[in-house]
Parts: sequence; structure tokens; C-alpha cells
Amino acid sequence: MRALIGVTVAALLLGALGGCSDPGSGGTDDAERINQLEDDVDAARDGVVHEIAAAVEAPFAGGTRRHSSCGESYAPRGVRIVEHLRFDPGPLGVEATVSTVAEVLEDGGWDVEWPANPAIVLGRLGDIEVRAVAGAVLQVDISNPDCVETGDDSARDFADRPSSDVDWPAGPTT
Amino acid sequence: MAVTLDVPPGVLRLAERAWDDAHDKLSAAGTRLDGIVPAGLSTVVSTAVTAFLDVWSAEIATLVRQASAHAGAFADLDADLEITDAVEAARLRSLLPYAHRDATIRVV
Amino acid sequence: MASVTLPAPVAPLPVLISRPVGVLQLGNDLRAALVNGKDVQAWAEGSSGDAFGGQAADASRHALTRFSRRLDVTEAALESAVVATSRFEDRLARLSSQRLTLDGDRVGLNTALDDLRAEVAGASDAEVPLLQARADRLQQRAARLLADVVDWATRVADAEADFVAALARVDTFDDGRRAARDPGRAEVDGVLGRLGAGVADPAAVAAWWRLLSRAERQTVITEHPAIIGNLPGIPARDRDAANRADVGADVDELGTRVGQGEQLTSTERDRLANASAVSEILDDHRDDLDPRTGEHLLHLTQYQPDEHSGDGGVALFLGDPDRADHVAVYVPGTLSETGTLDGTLGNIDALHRAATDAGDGLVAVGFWLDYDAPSIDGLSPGELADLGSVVTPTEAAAGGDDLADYLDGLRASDTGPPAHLSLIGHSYGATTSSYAAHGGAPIDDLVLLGSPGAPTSTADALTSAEVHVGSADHDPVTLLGTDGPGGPGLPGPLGQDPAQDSFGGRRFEVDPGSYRVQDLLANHSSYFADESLDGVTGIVIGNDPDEVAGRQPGGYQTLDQLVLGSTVASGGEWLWERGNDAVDGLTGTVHDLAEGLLGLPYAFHPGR
Repeated sequence: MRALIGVTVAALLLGALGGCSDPGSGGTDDAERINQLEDDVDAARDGVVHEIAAAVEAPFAGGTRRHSSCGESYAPRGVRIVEHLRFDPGPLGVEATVSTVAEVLEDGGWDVEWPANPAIVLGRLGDIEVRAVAGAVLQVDISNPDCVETGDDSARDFADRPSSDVDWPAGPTT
Repeated sequence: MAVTLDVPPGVLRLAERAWDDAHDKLSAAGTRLDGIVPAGLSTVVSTAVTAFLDVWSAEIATLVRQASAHAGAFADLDADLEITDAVEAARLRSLLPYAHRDATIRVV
Repeated sequence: MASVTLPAPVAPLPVLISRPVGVLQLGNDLRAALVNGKDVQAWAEGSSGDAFGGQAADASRHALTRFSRRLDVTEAALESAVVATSRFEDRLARLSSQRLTLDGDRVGLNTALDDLRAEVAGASDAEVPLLQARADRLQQRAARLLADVVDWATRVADAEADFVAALARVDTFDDGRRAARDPGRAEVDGVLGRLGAGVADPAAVAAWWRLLSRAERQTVITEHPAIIGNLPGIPARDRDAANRADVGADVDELGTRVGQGEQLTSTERDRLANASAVSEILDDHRDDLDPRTGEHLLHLTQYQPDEHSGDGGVALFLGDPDRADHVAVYVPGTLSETGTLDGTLGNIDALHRAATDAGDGLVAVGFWLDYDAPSIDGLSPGELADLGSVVTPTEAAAGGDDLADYLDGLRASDTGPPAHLSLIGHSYGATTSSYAAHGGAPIDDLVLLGSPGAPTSTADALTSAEVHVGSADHDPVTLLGTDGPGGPGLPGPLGQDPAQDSFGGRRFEVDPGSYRVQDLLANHSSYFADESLDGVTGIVIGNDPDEVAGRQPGGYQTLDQLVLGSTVASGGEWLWERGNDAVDGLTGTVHDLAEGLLGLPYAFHPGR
């Protein structure tokens, strides 16, 4: 038994069982969860983030959507999206920009959190977080800070997706 | 009539490879310059950048063609190193490392 | 209503049209092109008559010489452009920062005006003189601010004009020829010669670098990107410039050759794969900017694509470690290599956000992966040899030395008051970090996450830095240091379990993890979430996290007990469904490792 345990633990340590670790539910369930996550991120961008950009009068300058798994390569656990959006500075200044972002989030039903850094405000709705950082430029991240759990194979496939440029049609799209 | 160039074995092949490498690296540099799309710059700055790039992309393209032609000249040599005339032999010799600048050209 | 003359609100500042990031990208592209051009030039010059003195007339007839001299003209023009771009980028970053300050002043002034206007609306005539005096002071403030704004706008225009003029000085072939012959052109040999033996001393490197002109720095960066990009003591921004140039040049050159149908060697294939992986990371983060300056947030501080049996070495930061108040370096462990950085990037991103949100000064969080972290890629004999190293501290010790050098370099290039520097190791990376600390790495805090063992029996013997330990109860790897050849509680193959109470480290709270055997691996990779992330974040910004009791003999589940217990608790279904296949399939390859882990005779024979 001691040797068997040794083999198991050595394999765990080495990640050699990575391909044999819990694959999760897989299949349709994973696809649904991932689709839902993507839809939620799209909805946040096309909705509240467009409203934020309009409210703070900050023109869109560029954005990237990154796909990743949550854990290490041997235990990916689930999926995460970070969509990073960059805006040219508007006329409000840092403080007013942050408070305006918070107002828009609250009006949209998001739970707002103020971290100690006065240039940052967070909004949370379901699995999705919107994080706005004001400064020389305004940067907004839309992400799912808590892992959306999937099977390992689905997570690896998702993480292999290339990053993509964000499409930003003019004006609110909701 | 044939002409031979007296150089140590392998020198011509090494020369071909070196010119090939030069071609590849300069092509890579040219591709990088050609791919630059000025972004996040004012119009006046973008215009100046574009004017600069136009000149030096074209110059690198010229050097790429030269390197390719030089490599090709060595590649075209017959396996027995026969060269058709003394002028061509002198041209090839000048494309070899300078250490071989005095390699003997013989008409056979 | 009282009558008071108020100044007009100050209008928003103009936006910077040319942005630092746009100029940075241009500079990176020019440097990447220049690196490949200089490679050719080095060959051409070395083979041409230019390498020989006193034979100018003869050499000038030599075709390779003519080629070399013609290429040098392009090189000189690109060098000039790179220097101008570097200067322009620095000026724009400063202007961007100044704009932020001026805009803050403007918002403050307009707010004060709004407040005064509200007071005036409800004031009596008797209050007018006092209110008017306040209005006059605001008027003076507004005038000063407007003058500053005009001055700022002038400097923006000057910066642009200077850059345009600099490019115009080298935008014809004749201009390039003049630049090539310029006696003031930076000579890389002379520049490097001034460093001499100081190359091994990060402080000497930093001092040497500070004394170089901008042109000299840019020339050395493009002539020797692999040296400058990886040299401890060089500032992170310059290492980043060198490494981005090197990555770009590799992708361009090797990609060109692949595109022409050429077969690459195995080393070249590894190099291309590593360069492409790093290039992808850089591209993914191109929109992540420093909120103060508008420059890239990501700094590539190490790029060694040929190292570690083709795994490559890489290190980077989110933030600028030379300017940050708090700097954290994360060292990932088992199975980490340049091509599999997804989890590692996610970890440092989460930590950087959390530490930045805390608002306690500027933060830079990076990872260092320039050691031979145990890895597998399939189960080829060559990879098995690599895999076998996981149960010995050999690579951790060697990596620890290099890591300590890297950290020395961060200290040397630091500007302003010394940053608070934390070293965070995970898994085998924790063992490597322990060796670095034991070797005298200049850190303030050492954080060991999921550590399989440390080389000393106590924290005090390990380092003078504070030692913090995050070990999940159900992370089997953390129990390897307690189940050594001598029995429970005694050191394992990688050393002592730092979570033991007797070790004397500060153990902080982490989620114990799931008690299902199929989740044990996930428990080992869950230290950058929830309480654990909170604890690490606190340490990084200089706070002490809540401590929990260290492991006491008999007070925790040993490795055997955890594996057995979690298997039973999982109903055995995982082993039933997968364990037989997993164990059968791997017994022949990992059995010897297990023997090593358990103190049985070490008999690993790659390729047997």
C-alpha cells in the first residue's frame, strides 16, 4: 500500500496524472457554462460599460479579450475571461470619473465595491466583475474573478483560444 | 574554356549559406518595418514616420535582393566548381570573405 | 443676492494625441528590425575588408565590403530613429503624467468654484468682501493653472516637433550616409569596454548604465539584446526594450525561414516556440497600461529561449519594479515552462490587481521562470530525465543561485527608497525560492506556497527575511516534507516542511481544499484565490496576515492518511474509474520516483 500511495503522490506532484485527473462533467454542461460566461461578458460590455464610456465621455481606444484556465496546466479546474478595454481620458478627472462609473453601475443593478485605492471602483453582478481604473487613461476590465468550473479538457481547449480584439460599435448597444 | 577559383573545400557552400542567412534576416527586418502601422500617433508624427519607413523599407528590400542574388550565384555553381569566365570568377571571389580576396583564378 | 465676480471654470485639458504606448510600439518594431539588421552587419563586417586595417582601396573593391557599408547606412538611420523614438516616448510619458496632475488641479479648482458659487447664492451683502477675496484667490489659481496648461501644451508640441525633425534628419539615403559617418556615433565596443569585469556585479552594472548616453544605451540594446535583456542591474524598462527586440527578431527571422519551407533544427524550433509564446503574451497585454504614465504595464525582464533543455527562461512584471513601492516575484513550480504560462500569468494578474486595489503605493508583481522547473511533455526518455529531477533539490539549488542574482539585480536598478521586496514560491518553486533566500537573496519577505520542503530545519536558519507559509491541509505536496525516509515529521526528499510549527515560519490561513482524492491536484493549485490570495496580498503590501497554528506531530493528516482518507471519502469511485489506468500506465515510469520519495533506493534509469 505504501508503494501505491507513493506512486499516486509522485504522480500528483509531477502532474503526470494531469490527463487523468477529474475531467469534470464535460460535454454539453461545460459548453453551456462557457457560452453563458461569454454571453455575460458580452452583455456587460455592450450594456453597462458602453453606458460608462458615454457617461464619462471617454472614447474607446482599444481592447482585448483573453481566455485562460483557472489553475495550472496539470489542474486547469475551469475557465476565466478577462476583457480589457482602454479609453482615452474624458473631461471629468480621476475622482469624478470613478464616482460616475460607480453611479452607472449602481443604476444598472450592480453591487459596487470601493477598494482603498481611490482610482479604482468595482462592480459585481452574478459571476461578472467590472473593474474600472482611472488615470492617464481609463481602463475597464470585465472578468469572472471566481472560476467557472468545467472539466479539465474543456478548460484546456478554452485556454488555447487565441486572444481577440474587442469590437466596439459606437453608442450603447442595449 | 572553364575557369576555376582556388579556395579551400566547403568555402563556396559556406558562402552560399551565409548569404542565404543574410537574406533571411534582412527579409525579416524588412517584414517588420513593412508591418508597422503607426497607431496612437498624431497626424504630423504619423506622416513623418511613414516617410522615414518608406525610404528604409525600400533600401532593405534592395539589400535583400542583393543578398539573394549573391546566394544564388554560389548556388548556381556546378558541382565541379566550374565557372564560365574570369569576370564571373572575380565577382564571386569578391563575395567571399575578405580572407579569400586573393584566391587564384585559373583558366583551364 | 450678493454680487461676487467669479472666475470661469477651467476647461478640460487637450488630450494627448500621440500616446506613449504608440511610440513605444514603434520603438519596439524598429529595434526588432535593427537586431536582425545588425546580425547581418556583424557577419558582413567581420568577413569584409572593413575588418582589416590599412587596405582601404583594396577593400573598397570587395563586394562584401560594399554590401557591409551600404547596410551600415540603413543601420545608422534606424539607430537614429530608435534614439529619437526613445526620447519622444520618455517625454510623452512625463507629459502624460503631468497632464494627470494638471487635470487633478483643474477638477479641484472647478470644485472649489462650484462650492463658492453655492455660498455666494446664499450670502448676504456683508459677506461679499470675504467671498470676493476667495474668488480673487481662485482667479489667481486659475490663471496659474492656465499658464501651466499652456506651458504643457507647448511642451507637447515641442516634443512632437523634435521627433519629426529627428526623423527628417535621416529620411534620405544621403542622410543615412552622414549618420553612418558621424564621428559622434555610439560605438558599442567602447561602451561595453567601460563595464569590464563589473558585469558580474549588479550594482556596478547599474552604475555603468546610468552613466551611458541615451544613444549608447540604445546601441548596446540593439547590438546585444540577449545580454542587456538578462543582465542583473539593468533597469526593467531597458531590459524590456532589449527582450522585446530579441523576441520580435526571433519571431521574424525564424518565421521567415519557416515560411520559405526551411526545416529548422530542434533548437531553432524550441526557440521559435518560446519566442512565439512570449510574443503572444506581449500582444495579449498590449492594451494594459500604467495608469499614471500610459506606458506598457508589462515589462519583460528575462528572455532566454534556448535555456533549460528547450523549455526556455522567462521573467516579467506587471508594473515597473524599479519605481514601485512594493515588488513581488513569484516563482512557479512543477511543469512550468515558457509555453505553459497560463496559470502563472493568471496568478500574478490576480495578485497585482489585489495589491493595486489596496492603494498602498505603487505595486509591481512578476514571475521568474528561468530555472529548470520539472516538466514533462509526453513521456519520452529525455523528458523523463527532467521529470526525475522533481524529487531531488538539485535544480532548485541551482535555480536558487540564479534567482538570487536576479533579485540582486532588482535591488541594484531600484530607484528612490528601496522597495519592499517579497519572494513568493509555489510548489517546487517554493523550494527554489528557499534556496535563493538561504543564499542571501536581498528580500524582505519569503512566502512559501504549497511547499514540498525547505533546505533548513528552521526559518531563522533559512533567511533573515520574514518567512510566511501557506500550506493547505489537503494539499498532498505540502506533506512531502514531513514524510521523509526517517518517518513522519522528518524531512522529505526536498527538505523540511515549512508548515511545521517547529520550523518557526508564520503560517497564514488558506482554504484547506477539497477532501476528494480527485481534487488533490487542484488543492495544490488554489493558492491565488480567496483567503490565501488575501494573505499573500497583505504580505506583498507590507501587512501581516492572520496567522494560524503550525503543524504539530499528530495534529494533522500525514501523506498516507490524506491519500487513503480522501480515497475512502470519495467513495473510491475515482480510483475505480481512473486509478487503475493511471497507476498501471505510469507505474513503469514513476515507480522509481516514488521509491525515491519514500526513501527507498533511488534507482531512476531514464530510457530503461
